[in-house]
Amino acid sequence: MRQTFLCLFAAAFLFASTAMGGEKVIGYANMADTDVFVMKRKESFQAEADKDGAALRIIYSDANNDNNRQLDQIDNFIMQEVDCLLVVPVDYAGVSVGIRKANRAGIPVLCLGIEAEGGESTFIGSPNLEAGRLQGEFMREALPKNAKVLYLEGSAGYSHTTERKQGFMEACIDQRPDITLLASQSGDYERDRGMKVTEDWIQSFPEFDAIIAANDQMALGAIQALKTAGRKGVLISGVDGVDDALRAIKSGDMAQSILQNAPAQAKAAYNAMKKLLAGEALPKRIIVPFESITADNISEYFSE
Amino acid sequence: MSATTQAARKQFSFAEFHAKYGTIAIFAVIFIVSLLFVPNFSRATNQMNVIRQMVVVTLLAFGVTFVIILGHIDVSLGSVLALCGCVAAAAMKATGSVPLAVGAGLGVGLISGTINGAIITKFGIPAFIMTLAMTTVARGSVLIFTGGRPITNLGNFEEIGNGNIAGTPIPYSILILALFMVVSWILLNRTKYGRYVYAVGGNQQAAIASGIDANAVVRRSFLYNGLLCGLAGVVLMSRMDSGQPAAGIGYEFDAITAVVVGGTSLSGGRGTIVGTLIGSMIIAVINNDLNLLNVHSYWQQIAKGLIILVAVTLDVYTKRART
Repeated sequence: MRQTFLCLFAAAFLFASTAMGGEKVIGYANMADTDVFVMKRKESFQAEADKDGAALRIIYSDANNDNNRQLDQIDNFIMQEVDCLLVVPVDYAGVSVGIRKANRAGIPVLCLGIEAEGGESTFIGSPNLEAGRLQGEFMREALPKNAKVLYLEGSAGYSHTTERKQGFMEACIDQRPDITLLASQSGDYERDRGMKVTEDWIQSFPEFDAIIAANDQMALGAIQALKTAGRKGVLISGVDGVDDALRAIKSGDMAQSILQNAPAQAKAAYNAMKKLLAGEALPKRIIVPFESITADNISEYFSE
Repeated sequence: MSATTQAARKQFSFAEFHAKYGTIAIFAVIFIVSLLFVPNFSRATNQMNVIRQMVVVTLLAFGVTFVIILGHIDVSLGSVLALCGCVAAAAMKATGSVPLAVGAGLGVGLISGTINGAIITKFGIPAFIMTLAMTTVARGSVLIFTGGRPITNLGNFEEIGNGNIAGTPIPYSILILALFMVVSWILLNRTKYGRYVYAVGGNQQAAIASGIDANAVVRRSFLYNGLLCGLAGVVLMSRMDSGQPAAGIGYEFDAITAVVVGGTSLSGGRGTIVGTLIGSMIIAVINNDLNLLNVHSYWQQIAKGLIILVAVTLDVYTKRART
């Protein structure tokens, strides 16, 4: 017990001493540090700040995918009177209450990755509908006549999950009536779940031509399942552009990944934040485009 | 034996202290330390934040206190809460009436509580297994019901979780919490049913032998637990101004932690509503401290685990010291 208090003491002292300076304080409310992409963007943001060397103190919080916890953390940032609030919303609708509160407190808000529905904020990121659309456009061109495809959904209940799927459906299935969507199941954005679902599909469907996954982790799980079953010639597409996926594209196991450029988003966010702190006005949206990576352009993204 | 009691008398015995003053003293210490050393902690806006932040989990904790005193458990709180809250949000959207929305949310809570209680008592299934099944059924139901999308544009539904009583800085949610604390306290301390809860939780066979309908007590407790779960769901969704189908994951463990830290025994027979409130306050204050001190969330999880461990160890330790 005594040691806990000593720790609290020390932490409080540290906090108090750093708060003395005239530096700007930034609140960064992250969605979930356990998410590889979201974490990479956060690290890139810190790297931008380190490179810039401005008198900034960035306070991070992690909502662990819990909307309510994110609102609590935003309340705490408002109470600490941060100069700028960056938020990676757990949900586009649920975050609005927090943004409106920050607006009332006169704190400018930047939304990273997911655009908030309510309140005043500037969106910085790549709209999820676009990622699905890029997957759909690729498949529309690449698939043979009367192709059969499968779709691996992300975790149910999140807007980015429905938007990615919607983008794919609009760009591919709606445009090519000859293509059959055999099944669409959730793999919870995880590699092992994507693998399990694919294993079951291999049992139920004697043949299919493509698996479109809402992220790379599930796509990589699908590749693993197909390899084990010895099934070849299936086009696999994912989203995120993680290293394992790029490696798989290079080796020919995977057809496509959609790169959501974490460092580019972080850089855009950092620059936007600096402008806000300097008193400049920002547009409603700052778009960092998704990039489609295939065998044709893999060398630009990956060299190993 | 006498040597150990003598030694205990000579030195300050933490176990004795804890048994006598219990969790209130622990809370007081934590609160004073926070006031003195945590920057911004003492600000009125922060105090309001802390209280507002604890409402949802504390409501769940009040309900599950009854269940835990009976020696049962409920691990379905988080997903039932999501289902109740989303049904309430949908009702709000359809009718535009706050009372109807609240009624719909509470109704779903009562139904799930009835199902839990009925199956547990009728088939003698362990509460853990029954409520585990309920967890996935409720989560699946809410995803089907909402199509996996949040329900938005809820008019003045937000008022329940975010609004203040007209002309005062007191949030409605705190009023709701206070009201149900009083109701829970009366149920447990001033009614025959409350005495039966302790009797059945302490020794079910003896309770049955003395003529208590133990199954009816269990069913009623799950019913009340379901009602509070529905209420917590309404407050939560209102706070987020939307029906969120993925909300509430893991809240059952936050609630159970509050109950256990508050001195309720997981083996049944012992526990109080005031204890649960204080347990919940301890956790809320520590969470707030960790946030204000900007302790990284990874460490916060470790801290949370250690708090449970310390609380349960203290519980076992004091029980041993008393006997």
